[in-house]
Amino acid sequence: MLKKLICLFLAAGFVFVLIGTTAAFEQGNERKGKYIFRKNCRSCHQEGKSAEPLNPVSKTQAQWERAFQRYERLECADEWESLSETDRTDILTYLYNHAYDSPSPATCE
Amino acid sequence: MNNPNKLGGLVLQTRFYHICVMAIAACFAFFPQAQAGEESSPAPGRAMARQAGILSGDWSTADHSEMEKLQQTFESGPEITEACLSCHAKADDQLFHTIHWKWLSPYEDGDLIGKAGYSINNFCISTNKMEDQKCSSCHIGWNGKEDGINCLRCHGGADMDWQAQFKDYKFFKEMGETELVEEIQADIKEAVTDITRPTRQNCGSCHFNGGGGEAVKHGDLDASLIKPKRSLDVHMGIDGQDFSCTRCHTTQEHQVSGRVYSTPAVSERKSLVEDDLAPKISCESCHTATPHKDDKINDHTDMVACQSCHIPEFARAHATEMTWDWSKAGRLKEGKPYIEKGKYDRPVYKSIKGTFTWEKDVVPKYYWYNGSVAAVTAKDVIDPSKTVRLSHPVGERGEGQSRIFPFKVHWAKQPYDKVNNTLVTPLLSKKNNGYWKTFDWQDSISRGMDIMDLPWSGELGFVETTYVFPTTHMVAPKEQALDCRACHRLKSGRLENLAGFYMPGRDRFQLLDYGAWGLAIAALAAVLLHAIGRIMASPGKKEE
Repeated sequence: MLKKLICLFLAAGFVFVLIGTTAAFEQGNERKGKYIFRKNCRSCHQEGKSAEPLNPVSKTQAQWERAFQRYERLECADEWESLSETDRTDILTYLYNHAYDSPSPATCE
Repeated sequence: MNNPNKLGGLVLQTRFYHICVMAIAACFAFFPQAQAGEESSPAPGRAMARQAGILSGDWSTADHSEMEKLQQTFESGPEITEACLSCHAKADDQLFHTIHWKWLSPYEDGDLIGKAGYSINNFCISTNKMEDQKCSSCHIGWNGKEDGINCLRCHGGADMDWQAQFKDYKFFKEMGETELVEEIQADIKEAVTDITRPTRQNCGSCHFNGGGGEAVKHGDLDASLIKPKRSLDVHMGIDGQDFSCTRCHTTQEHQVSGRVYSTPAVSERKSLVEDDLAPKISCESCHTATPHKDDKINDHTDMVACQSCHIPEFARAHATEMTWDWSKAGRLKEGKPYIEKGKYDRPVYKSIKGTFTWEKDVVPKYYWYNGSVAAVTAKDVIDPSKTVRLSHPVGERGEGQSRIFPFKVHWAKQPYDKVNNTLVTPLLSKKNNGYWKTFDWQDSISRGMDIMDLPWSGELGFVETTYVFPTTHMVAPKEQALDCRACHRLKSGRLENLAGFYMPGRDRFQLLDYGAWGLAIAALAAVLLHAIGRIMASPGKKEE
């Protein structure tokens, strides 16, 4: 019985740690996020447009997370507000999973 | 005895008064007139240009949003093109003959000259016959040369990444995400009916981003021209004439005028007064060859191109790239490629590309130029002991249409074959598993040269090269045009490096100078001697 309990605890701990290292937010729909990012953010955030060019590799995973936690401070906060909570999570999922320090950085040259 | 003398004095005095009054009257008569003239009548060249541009504006007779053919569900790019061609039946055939489609010079036979040929530059070097996928993002097709022409690249008013749009459409349709599918289709429909003559955004989406980024390639074409002030570009300024690119780059059967390569943009210097169907591509088309009020300045137009004085510096809004050193590429930080930014917030190092330098307000280099540019191709043997002129302006004084013209000269260090003494064409794109992914010169060059069907010895070297761009956009307002002293000066004049002719103010003939000074001094001495003689010889009043 004790053995079982220890196993359970260890397994639970392992899962917890695993979640902790992947992301501090609940993963959304990455593919949707890519589309919403292109449609809503890249329209300004690209070379020759009004805002600093951005793509997933522009920042690290931690930097993306921080940006999404504090988007109210950004100049384009209104645009952020117009998106739903799910939309924002989807975008973050896409950016986070292909960030500069992610296992599969986006291949924008 | 006294009376006649007095009378004589009186006559002299009155005559002096008359002369004075006439001189003052003359001043009043001529001066105000000259000033008023400057305000009321523009210089002849400006007056001509205003007439040439009198019918500006949009006079389209079609509204594409009302066309039935365009009110359908489009699931791929070629379906859109098919709808366009159902009315514009000849458009595709015309396009297939242009450089915008072929990426090969339409003026030469064969596949030597052009991006899709053996032409080489010192930016991303070569498109490997359009096999390098990243380069094709600027091609006017839906998918490189596959899948036909994307008419909306030049005629679409909406800013749209079509490849991504259709990819997303297909993906979400398969996933059953009906809401997203409808949203994407609505965007597509809206974009398909938003048809324009090519705007600055259309042309600029490629031409402002040449060489792999904004303001990289040309010093006089960058995103600052999307909404420029008149002080940056007197023609395109939104607070001035507000010209689009097509006001000067006129088109015949989809062939856009103004391309400069081995053939000049214009074969004859003609104004619209001489030929109303002449392309408006040169300054003289609208401004004529005698545009100034001052004939002395007009005397220059046969030797000095308008651009030389009227574009005092290029890259006046955004900094432009001036050098690129490929030999420094490939450094990694913790095993990863990185980017370092410098002045003007532009990259000074990229692992995938090497080092760069950027400059703003750059004084051009001046060369004799007959309108054509000679270029080295991947097939030509080079001399690596010297800086290789990848491209250079053709022309010399007194030859044909040659005039002095301003240029941006881009310097680079790029890979070459040490054994064959030829420039090499590495495959670069990540999608091609090129250098930007592998950082392996050997592999990317050998596969790149294979595509070109050219030999590669395996001996890699780096050679210094220069590449030129005629500076012709960003014409400054006349107040900023260069004055005479910019060139006509003894030292550090702008045309210091042009030899083989006499230019007043810059050049001197010592013997002639000494002779002239001698004569001047002699004349002064003669006047002085004469005056002294007169004073000495004149009878004094007392004696009288």
